[in-house]
Amino acid sequence: MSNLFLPAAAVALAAQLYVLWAVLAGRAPASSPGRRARFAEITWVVLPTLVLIAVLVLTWNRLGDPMAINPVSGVPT
Amino acid sequence: MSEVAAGQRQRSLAADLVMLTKPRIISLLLVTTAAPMYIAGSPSWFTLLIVMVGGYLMAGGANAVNMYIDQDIDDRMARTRLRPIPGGRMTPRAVLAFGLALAVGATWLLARYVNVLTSALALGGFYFYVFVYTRWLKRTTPQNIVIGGAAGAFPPLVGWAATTGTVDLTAIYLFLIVFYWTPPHFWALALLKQVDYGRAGVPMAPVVWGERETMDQMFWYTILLIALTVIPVAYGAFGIIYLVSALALGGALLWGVIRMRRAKPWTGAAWWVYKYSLLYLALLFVAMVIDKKI
Repeated sequence: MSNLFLPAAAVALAAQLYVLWAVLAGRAPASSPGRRARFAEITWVVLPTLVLIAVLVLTWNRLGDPMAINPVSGVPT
Repeated sequence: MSEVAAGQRQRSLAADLVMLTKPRIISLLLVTTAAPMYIAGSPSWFTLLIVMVGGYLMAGGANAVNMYIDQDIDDRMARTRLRPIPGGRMTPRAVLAFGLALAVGATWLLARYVNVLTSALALGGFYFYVFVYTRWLKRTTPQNIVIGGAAGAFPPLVGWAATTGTVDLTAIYLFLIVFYWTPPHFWALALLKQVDYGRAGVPMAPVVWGERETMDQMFWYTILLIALTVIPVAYGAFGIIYLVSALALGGALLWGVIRMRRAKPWTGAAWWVYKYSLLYLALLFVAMVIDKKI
């Protein structure tokens, strides 16, 4: 079922990017005015985006290396 | 007569101590701790018992310290006005001492009878909830429960580490699933309690962004959540039983969120999303265990 990865990862990334866009476009603003609050707000959305990308890349690398994952348990060997 | 009164006071104190730990919230945390233990392997009953007790004490301690920190705003919200501190039944110092004692006890219990990694992860969840969520983000940003949601995502790591002594890719996905489940779950409640939050000065998303944008974000986070629940199947961690369950459960959650966005008034639909999301997470983790064990 490895062919599920790309569509699922694409959907997850698209949704995360919408969330990021909503903050960048001002649809989901900070609770107080000012550049510092806006910068913090963007940071709080960028951080999960980076983590998500890192985990997806890690998964992609493992999928390309069948020896890295036990096919029964899903646990890296 | 005085003995009767003393008995009632003791029962009242016991009830308040239990209330400080927020037992209803912890019950779901324990499901997301226990299930990963069985997904990762076959723990002994003793290990399961210790992890459940330690997990309850750690989460209960975090909740008590949360009530100590939030004592000023708990009095302004109908939902929290009857808690032991605003109700005048316990002193703030006693609540703080109780919370810290539970956390210390849990740290020792998990390190002594399970392993140090499990104990460290549970303590990490405690610190994240107390310092990152409650002290820092809760009153400063509408992204509070997004980042703060990571605190509630520690239990799967705790359960996984208790069985395997390590954390791997599947454990990280379980963490992410709980992390991305939190916004649609909590914002449903925040929508319903937005007047309370506004009165207390807590910048929850509906207070700052408005109802429409909050519902839009709930929709996209639900899409993200469903996609993430599918990925472990792609690399072989789970099979068809889990895949069908994840899609069905996720589909129902998405339907609920879409219904809420369209409904006028939306309060009934928001309640449904809030309550169903609790059931969703529990059943999703149960489906993982069934898939692994059949």
